[in-house]
Amino acid sequence: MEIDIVTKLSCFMFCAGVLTVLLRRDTILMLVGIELMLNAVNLSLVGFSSLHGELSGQIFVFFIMVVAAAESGVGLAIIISLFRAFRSVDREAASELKW
Amino acid sequence: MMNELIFYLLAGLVLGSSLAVLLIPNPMYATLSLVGNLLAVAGIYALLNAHFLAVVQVTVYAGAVMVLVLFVIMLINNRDFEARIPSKIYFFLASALVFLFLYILIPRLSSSGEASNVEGSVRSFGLLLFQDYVINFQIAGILLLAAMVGAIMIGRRSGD
Amino acid sequence: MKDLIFLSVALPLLGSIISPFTRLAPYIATGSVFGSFIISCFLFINLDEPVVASAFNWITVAETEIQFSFTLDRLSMVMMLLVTGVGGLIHLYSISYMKGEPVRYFSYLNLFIFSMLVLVLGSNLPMLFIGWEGVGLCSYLLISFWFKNKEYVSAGTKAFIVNRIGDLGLLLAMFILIRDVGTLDFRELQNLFSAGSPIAEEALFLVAIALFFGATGKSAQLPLFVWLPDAMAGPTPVSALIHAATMVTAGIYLMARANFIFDAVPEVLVIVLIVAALTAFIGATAALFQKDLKKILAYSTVSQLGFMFVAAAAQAYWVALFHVLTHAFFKAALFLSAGTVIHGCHGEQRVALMGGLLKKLPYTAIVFGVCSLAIAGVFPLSGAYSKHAIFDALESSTLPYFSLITPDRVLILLSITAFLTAVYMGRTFSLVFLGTYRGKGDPHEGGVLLVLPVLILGIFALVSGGYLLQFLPGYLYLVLDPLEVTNPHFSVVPLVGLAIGIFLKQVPNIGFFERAWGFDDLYSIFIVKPFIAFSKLFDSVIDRLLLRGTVDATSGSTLVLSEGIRLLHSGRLKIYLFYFFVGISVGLGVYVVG
Repeated sequence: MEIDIVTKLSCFMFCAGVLTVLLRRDTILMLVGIELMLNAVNLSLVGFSSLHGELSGQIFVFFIMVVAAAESGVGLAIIISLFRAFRSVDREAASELKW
Repeated sequence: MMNELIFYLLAGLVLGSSLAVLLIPNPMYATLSLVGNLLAVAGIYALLNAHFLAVVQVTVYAGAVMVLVLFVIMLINNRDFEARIPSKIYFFLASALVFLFLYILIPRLSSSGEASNVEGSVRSFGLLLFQDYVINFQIAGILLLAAMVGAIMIGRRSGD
Repeated sequence: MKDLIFLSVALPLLGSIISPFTRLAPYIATGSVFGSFIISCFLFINLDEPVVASAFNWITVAETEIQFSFTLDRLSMVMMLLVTGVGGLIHLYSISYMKGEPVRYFSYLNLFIFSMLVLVLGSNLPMLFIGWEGVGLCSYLLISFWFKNKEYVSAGTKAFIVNRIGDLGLLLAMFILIRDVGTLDFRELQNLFSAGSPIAEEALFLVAIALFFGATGKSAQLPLFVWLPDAMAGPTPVSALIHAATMVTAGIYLMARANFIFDAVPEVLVIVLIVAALTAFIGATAALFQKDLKKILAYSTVSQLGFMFVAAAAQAYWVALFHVLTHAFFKAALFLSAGTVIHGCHGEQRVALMGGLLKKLPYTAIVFGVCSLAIAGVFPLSGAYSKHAIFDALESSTLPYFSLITPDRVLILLSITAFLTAVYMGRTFSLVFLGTYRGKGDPHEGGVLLVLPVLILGIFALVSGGYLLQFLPGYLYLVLDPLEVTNPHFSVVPLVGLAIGIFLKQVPNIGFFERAWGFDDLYSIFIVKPFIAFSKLFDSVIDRLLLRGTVDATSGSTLVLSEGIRLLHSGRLKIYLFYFFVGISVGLGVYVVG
């Protein structure tokens, strides 16, 4: 199997994640988009690990997962604080830091 | 042959669920689509001989992180979720950006090689993890600790 | 001796520094000047050879060394006595006249005496120049003494600026001398010149002309005399001291000091003669048509200074000095009397509103009358001696006259001028002291402090003629050639002039003469107004547009730019994320493409 299909797939997932972050108004779904992006990167890394026969690519993925877990935990905590302050998770609600 | 078929099936699932995450308004459904995406990707990991990673993906990523997100969604309980396209200009700008992304990257991804048989078993993974990358492992542990403490601190109600 | 020289110069300086801080300033200032006078007398008695008192080596450039030093020779001695003597009397007068005025007046007056002493005692041209500038400064400070009046201030400014234009001449002369001769010391220059001219003809001509130009600025000759009538805005004792007796004579002193330079280029002396004779004539005609008492005396000073320069031009430098002395006596007395008169008439300066003051101000009237006779040249008063000496010197001069300029014609012009002098003085005396009083209030004599100095000066104006005629040429012979002049004799001409003036009283209102042949207007049209227009152009174009515009543009553009950038802070997460991804895409793009 050629690996380029894996990398193309990963690229598509990544773009979907970018669009999710940019276009969605729910902050929780923005976090979801970030997770999607991270997942895409993981996929491409595993693909390259398979391409080169190196296991260290997968080790990298492992650590990315660790970081993603940590970051999503903290992010959700922030979103909950945000919800408590603005009574909404809409990103437009938290626009008080205007010029 | 069988491999190829399963791969294309999983690939289709991945594509579909990504689009679903992007396009479905209901946050619950969108998150569940992401879960599906994660599972499909785990399958692809397995096909690529990254067995340990596949299991970790299902257990940790899909099983713990996503569940957490689902909890919060249910906590927030937002009934009035948004319409599809927020503002046209922004939509077009963002899409153009992404299109550019794809347009630039895809040609450079064309030339690749064959998948090789890399050993992604628990044993070999463990060996590498605890020998060559043990320091990273420890730091990751500390990171998780910090994140945990941080999350609790941030999420506290004032006065607790 | 050297220490005494330094002391005599330092005393007025000290007085000037101390004065602003004490109410006793008038007495301290007067005391310091009289102190200098006493020292001068002592020096006079004991002076034989010239004494050089050098303080330190001031400037050393290449091979030229300029010392900060004073030289007391007989010429400087005469000037020193004049400055401190007349200066002291005027300080005495000021104690009473300037009662109640700010004491910085005495500080300035002392500073003036100091500068004048530096001027006459300087061993070299730069030292002289220090004094030169100093008296110019004090003149400005004192003319604009009552600075709240804008017109007085502009008069002071005008004096300073016109002086400054003359100073350019003096500076140019110094520069040429340094470049071509290498020294500015008077002694050394005199030695060099005695062996024949050390520099080229053209350069020497320039030096002499430049020096004379400087003198015209300081001594109010053509074309730089326009400041002197306006300078009457200052207090009357100032007019007496600075603009009659001392500062305006600095130009004569310069010519006497540098006589060897002028003697080497007689062509310049012809130019000096023409300028001086014309100035004398213009001044006399202007004095005849003035309506203000002080302005009459001011134009009279311009005219008399012209006489002094005529003497200098005729290479009879000691005669010029002679007239300096006699003029100092009677003109200072005239000014101080005028001060008393004006003070008595409660500030009125127009002669039309005076009259009949002979009875009310008898002492003043007598002195004024005596000095009028002196200035008109009535024998045996001092003015007669000095004027006659000037005419004699002119007759026997050996200058390279050319074409229209002959000594006879100049003599005729000068004679007419002398006659006019008598006429306007007679008119003035008549309008002020004779007839009935046409003004308001009741004028009366001031105290003894006002009368005494005037009396003393008047006595000198009365008797000094004969003595000085005997004494001066012999005393100054080492410095200035003792040209032989004859004794004057009684002439009825000045008396006729005076009589005409007395009976004439009113003169027709001829604006041309009253405005001194329109020189002020000439300068206004051709120099002042174009300059102001030019400055306005600069202001509107360069100052406003370019300079301020650039600064405004810088700040303005920063403001506009920041207003624009501020809009980036929308506060909306969506926009921030967008920027984020754009940035990353650009970076990625650059990396991939490059």
